[in-house]
Amino acid sequence: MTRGHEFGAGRVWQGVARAWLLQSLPLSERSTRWAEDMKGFLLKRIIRRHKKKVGKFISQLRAIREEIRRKRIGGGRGTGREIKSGIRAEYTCWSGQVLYNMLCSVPKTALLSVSTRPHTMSLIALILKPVAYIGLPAYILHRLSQASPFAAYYIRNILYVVSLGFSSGLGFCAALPLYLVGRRYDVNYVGARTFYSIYSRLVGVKVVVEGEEYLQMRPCVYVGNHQTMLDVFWLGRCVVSSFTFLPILIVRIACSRWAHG
Amino acid sequence: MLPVGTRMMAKKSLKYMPILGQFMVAGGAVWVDRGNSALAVRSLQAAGEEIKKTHTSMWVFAEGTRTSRPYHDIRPFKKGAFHLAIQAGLPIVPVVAENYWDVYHPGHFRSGTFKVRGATEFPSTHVSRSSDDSSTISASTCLHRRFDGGGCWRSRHTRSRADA
Repeated sequence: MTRGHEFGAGRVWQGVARAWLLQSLPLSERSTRWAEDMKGFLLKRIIRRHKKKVGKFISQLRAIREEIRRKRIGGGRGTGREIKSGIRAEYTCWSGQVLYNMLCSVPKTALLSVSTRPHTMSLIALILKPVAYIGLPAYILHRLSQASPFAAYYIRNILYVVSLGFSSGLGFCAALPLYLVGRRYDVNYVGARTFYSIYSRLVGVKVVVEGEEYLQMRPCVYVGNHQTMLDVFWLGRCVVSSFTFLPILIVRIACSRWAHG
Repeated sequence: MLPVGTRMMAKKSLKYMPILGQFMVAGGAVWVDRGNSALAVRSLQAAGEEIKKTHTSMWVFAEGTRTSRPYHDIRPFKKGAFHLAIQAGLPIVPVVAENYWDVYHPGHFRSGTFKVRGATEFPSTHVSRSSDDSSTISASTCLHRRFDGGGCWRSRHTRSRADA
């Protein structure tokens, strides 16, 4: 058994690993095992750090208890202060006794079994962790919006702002590369398209476009009717599909070159 | 579908929205000052010339503001879109969204589907170049009719037909 970093990262991961292992136990066993484990884990640390102190403390407690017992035998009467101090002493004694009992109940083998090797995070945890972080709030929001239309309205509005912010941020980031390629005004396209694809999946609203042939001419002035903030959303739908993803475009050109020799 | 390289026209206050504003600036939006019509006209003229030069399209919500009602309704159009079209000599293409009151209106939001329809173009040559109000108004009423005849309205406006 090596004694080293008492509060180091290795210890923390060890605790996490223990908790993880406990999760796999059946529920009936879990609580008792948890209690045992935690007690062992914490007390081991206490003992190791304050071995001398604990020993001294225990002997002091014994002395106090003896004194109290003697007083009781001798009649147990005294002045108010004496009684008060007696009670305090008894209380300390009692709490000390509890601690002492706990200390005694730690099996010595448990002390030896502690390995100081830190548990490294596995690859699965690396994937599972973000999923858990996103998944839980998403699930809660989903259930909440199912439960009440009032909550759904606000959740969807918040999602609107968030996804619009995200997609316009993305569009803004795409601005520089697009500008360098010489297609500055495709920025709108990137933003609106992203917004539509994200938000339609989030809230389950679809837009069907009719008369697409009228929308393909260029240049012209498009005039739309403005009902609510959701118009930005269907605008994103209208912008779909004429765009070819650049790598695909390159592959297509390469293919046609190849086909034509 | 709208071709890549379409710009937007938006009110000036949107410019200062946290992320959206920067994004729209990056996308080359045309900003219109709603309070000051002289300034607005000037910025539209500049925009028209630039559109002609860069060979791009422009998206305008011509009503100028939002109108959410349980039945279909279009407000009278503002003249900005027509000024722009005349300036750049471009045709106007109406794009209409169906009334989606049952999907979304303030205080109500549920999943669903609604239609958007593109209609035939309306050449800006129909609007006289003198840019006097009567001609733009007639053009806008003409467009209104086309919007109504878009065939995707659910309610009382279905009876009017598109013509010419």
